[in-house]
Amino acid sequence: MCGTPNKLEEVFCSKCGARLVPLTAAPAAEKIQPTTPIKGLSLPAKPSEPAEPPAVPTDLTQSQEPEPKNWLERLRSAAPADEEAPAQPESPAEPAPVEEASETPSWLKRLRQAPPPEEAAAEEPSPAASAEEKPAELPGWLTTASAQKDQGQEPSPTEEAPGWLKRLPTASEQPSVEPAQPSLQPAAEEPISPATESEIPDWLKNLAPASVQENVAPPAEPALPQPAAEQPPFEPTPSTPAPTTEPVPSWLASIGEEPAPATTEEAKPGEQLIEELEAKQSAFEPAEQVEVPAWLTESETPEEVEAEDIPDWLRTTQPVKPSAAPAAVETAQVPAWIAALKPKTAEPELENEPVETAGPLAGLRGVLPLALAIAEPHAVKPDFLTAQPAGHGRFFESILAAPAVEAAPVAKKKSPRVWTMRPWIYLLLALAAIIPFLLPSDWASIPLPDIKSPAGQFYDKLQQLPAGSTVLMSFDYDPGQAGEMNLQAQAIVRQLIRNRIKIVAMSTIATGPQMAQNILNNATRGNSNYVYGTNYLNLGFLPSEAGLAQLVAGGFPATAKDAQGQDQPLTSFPIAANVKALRDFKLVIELAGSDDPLQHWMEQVQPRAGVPIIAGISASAEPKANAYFSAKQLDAFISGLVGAAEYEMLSNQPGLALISVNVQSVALAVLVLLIIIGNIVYWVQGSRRTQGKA
Amino acid sequence: MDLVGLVVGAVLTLFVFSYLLGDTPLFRLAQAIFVGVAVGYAAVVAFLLILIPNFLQLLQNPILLILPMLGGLLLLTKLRSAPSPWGDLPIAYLFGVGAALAIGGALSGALLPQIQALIVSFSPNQDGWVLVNNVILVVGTIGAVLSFRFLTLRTRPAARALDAFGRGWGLLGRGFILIAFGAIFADTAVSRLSVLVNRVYYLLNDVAGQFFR
Repeated sequence: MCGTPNKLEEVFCSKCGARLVPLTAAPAAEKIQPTTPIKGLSLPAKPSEPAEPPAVPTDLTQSQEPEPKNWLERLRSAAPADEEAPAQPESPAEPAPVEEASETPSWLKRLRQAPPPEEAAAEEPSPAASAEEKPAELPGWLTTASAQKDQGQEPSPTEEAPGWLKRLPTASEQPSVEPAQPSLQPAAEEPISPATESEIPDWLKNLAPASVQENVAPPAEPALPQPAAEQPPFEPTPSTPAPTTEPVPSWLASIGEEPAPATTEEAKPGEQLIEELEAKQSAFEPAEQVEVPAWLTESETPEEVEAEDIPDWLRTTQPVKPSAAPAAVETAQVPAWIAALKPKTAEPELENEPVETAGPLAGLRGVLPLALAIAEPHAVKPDFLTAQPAGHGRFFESILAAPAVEAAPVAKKKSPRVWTMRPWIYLLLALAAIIPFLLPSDWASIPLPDIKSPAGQFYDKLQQLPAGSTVLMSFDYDPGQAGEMNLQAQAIVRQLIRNRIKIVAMSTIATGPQMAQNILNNATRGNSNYVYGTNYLNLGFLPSEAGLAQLVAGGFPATAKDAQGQDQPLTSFPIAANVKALRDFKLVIELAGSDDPLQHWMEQVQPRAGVPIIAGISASAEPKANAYFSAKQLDAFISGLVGAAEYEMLSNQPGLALISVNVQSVALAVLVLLIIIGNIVYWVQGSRRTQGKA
Repeated sequence: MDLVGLVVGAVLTLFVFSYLLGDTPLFRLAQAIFVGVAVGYAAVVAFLLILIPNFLQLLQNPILLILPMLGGLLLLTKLRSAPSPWGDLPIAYLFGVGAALAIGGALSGALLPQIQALIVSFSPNQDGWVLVNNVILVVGTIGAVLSFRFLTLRTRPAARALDAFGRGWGLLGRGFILIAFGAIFADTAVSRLSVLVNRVYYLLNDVAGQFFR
C-alpha cells in the first residue's frame, strides 16, 4: 500500500486503490487494484473460515497498528500464559486489517482447541500433505506449540511447528514478551539448527528460489495467492536450523532492502521478519529443488497476484513509493457549471496526432506537414470553395491526403528578349544628327529677318565699342561644353578683331585659359596686326568668387602673369598699361558654360564694378540668364547654338554654327515627335487600363 | 601631333558612344580618362598659377607669410584626432570668408535686383502685351514664393481666409515653378543635342575627312 492515510469508512485507498478492509470471502465482483508482487514470504493472514465482517479502520495507520496485541493477548488468555506470542511470524501490522478483537482466525480457534501433542506428532511426518489436504488445519508448528502448551506451557498445535518456530523462545522463557515486539525478532543468539524438510511449511518451501533450495529446506507451504479459506495454517517449525555461513539469498535480502517509508512502525514487522528469516534461512539444509512460484518471481505482474490473497500485514512490507502527495483532501462535488469553466487542455482529436519531432514545432501535436506539402505537388479539389471552413487545417490536410500528382516537367525556356523602343530612338536621333550634314545646303544665301532677340542686342553692344578699346573676356567653360561655346567665342572674337578691339582673356575655371588661348590663336592666325601682348593677352586662371571679389576691389594682382608662361608681370605688357582695374575695361563679355560662372559674375562683379556685362551662355543657363536680363543686370546675351548661329548671321560670317543649328533643329523635331507619340500611347494605354478595371 | 590628337579624340568619342549598348568597360575607360585628365590639369594649373606665384610674393615679405603658414600648419592637425581641434581655426576662417562672399553676393547680386525687377507698372496706358507680361511676372513670382509657405491652420476666420488665399496663390505659383522646371529641362536637352551634333560633325568632318579626303 502507499501509506496514504484514509478515512475509517474508506474501503479502498484513495490514492493507490489498495483494499483497506480485508475480505473474509473473495468477492468476485470486487475491483481490486493490482499491487506489486511480493518478494519473499507471505504468511497466511486470512482465516480459513469466513470471518465476520471486519470493522473499517479509521485510517491506514490505525489499520496498521499492532492489533496483535489483542489477538495475542486473547491467545494467551485463551491458552496458558506460556503461549508464544512471538512464535507467530506475522507482523503486528497484520492483525488490524485482518483481524479485529471480535474476529479470531480459524487457525487460532483451532489452536485453542488444539489436540494433544501426540496427535500433532502423528501428523508431523507429513505436514505438507496435511497442509495441502487440509489447508484449514492449523500449521504444524502451531499445533505442536499447542501440544507443548498443554504439556508444558506451550501451545499444542495440531501440526508440528516449523523448526524455526521451535527454536523461538517459548512463553515460559520469555514471559514478558511484548506484543509490540514483532515476533519476527531474530533469535540470533540461539543457534538455529537446520529444520527438516518435514518441519518446513509448504509455503515457506515455495518461497525459496531454486538457488537457495540447495542450501535451504524450503517450506512446503503453497503459493501465497490462495484464498484465505484455503490458506494452510501456519506451521511453525519445531526447531530452528543451525546458523550457517550461507549467504542471504537475494530474494530474501531484497525484502529487507525494500523500504517502507510510510511509518517506521510499519516497517518494523517486515524488517524483523526478514531478519529473522535471514537468520533462520541460513540454517536451512539444502533441500530439493522447489519450483519457485510464478508469483514470487520479479516478472510476475501484479495482475497475477490477487491482492486479496496477500495478507494485509505483508502489504505494508511492499515497496512503498515515496509519496509527495499531501494528506488526503476531501474532494467535493464540483457543480456542473463550474466544471464547464474548466479550460480544455487538448482536443481529444489531437491526442491521436503524432508528435512533431523536429523543427521549431517540436513537441506539438497536430502539426501540418508543410514541408511535405510544399515539396510534393498535390491536386486541388475543385470543390475547395465549398469545403468546410479551415478549421484546424482540415481542408489543408485533405489536400495533403490526396495522392501526389506528378509535376509536369518544366521545360527550360529561354527568357524572351524584352523589346523596347530605346534602340530605335537612338537610331532615329543618330540619323537625324547625321543626314542633315550630308545634305547640300547653302544657308548663307537665305535672308534672315530682323532679329529682335537678345542676340541682336548683343551684336549691337559689340558694334558700339570704339576702336582701340579694351574688353575683358572670361572663358568660363570646359571642353565638355566647347561644342556650342566655341562657336560663340569664335564669332565674338572675330567680330572684335574686325573692329580692332583689344581683348584681355581670363577664366575662373582651370581649363578655361587653354580654351581661350585656342580661340585667340585660331582667330589671329594669319593676322599680323594682332600681336600677343599688344592687342590681346591671356591672363590665365583666377579663382572664382574670391578672385572676382579681389578683381573688383583691387584690380589685377601684382603677381598676375600671362597664361603663356612667359613669367612676365602683367604690367610689362603694353595692353595692360591702361588697364589696372576692372572699371578700365569698356565691356565685360562672360562666356559661361553653366549657371555658376554667370551667377558669380552677377553677384560679385556686377553690383560693384560699374561696368556693363554681356554674356554668351549655354542653352542650359538660359532661364537664369533671362532672369538677370529681366532685372537688367545683364545687358545682353546669346544662348547656345542658336545664339551662335544668329550672331554669325548678324555679323555676316556664316560658319559651322549655321550648319549645326540645322542639324540640331532636325534632331529636335524628331525628339518632339517621339515625345508626342509617347504621350499618346501612354494616354491610350491608361484609358484601356481604366476601362479594363471598370 | 594633331593627327594623334584627332585619332585619340575619335576613339574616345566612340568609347563614350558605347554607352548606348550599356555600361560597357569602354565607356568606363573613357570616363576615367576624362576625370583623371581634368583633375590633373586643374591641380597643375592651380599649383603653378596660384600657389607658386603667391608664395613667391609672400617670400618677399616674410612677415606676411606667418599667418598663412600658421593656418596651413593648423590644417594639418586634422590628420590626428587629438590635436584636430586646433585645425578648426583655419577651417572656420575659410568657411567664414566663403559664407561672407556667398551671402553678400546673393543679397546684393540676386535678391535685391530681383525684387527691384519685380516692381513693374500695371498702368493700362502701356502696351497690352507689356501689361500682361507684368501681371504674369508679378503673379508668378509671388505665387512661387507663396508655394513654400508652411504654416499651421489658425482658428480665427479672418486668418483662415487669408491662409486659404495664400494656399491657393501658392498652388498657382507651384504651376509656374513646374513650367520653369520644364523650361530648364528643355534647354538642357537642347544643350546636349548641341554636343551630339558637334561630336557627329567632328567624326564626319574632322576625322573622316582626314582619312578619306
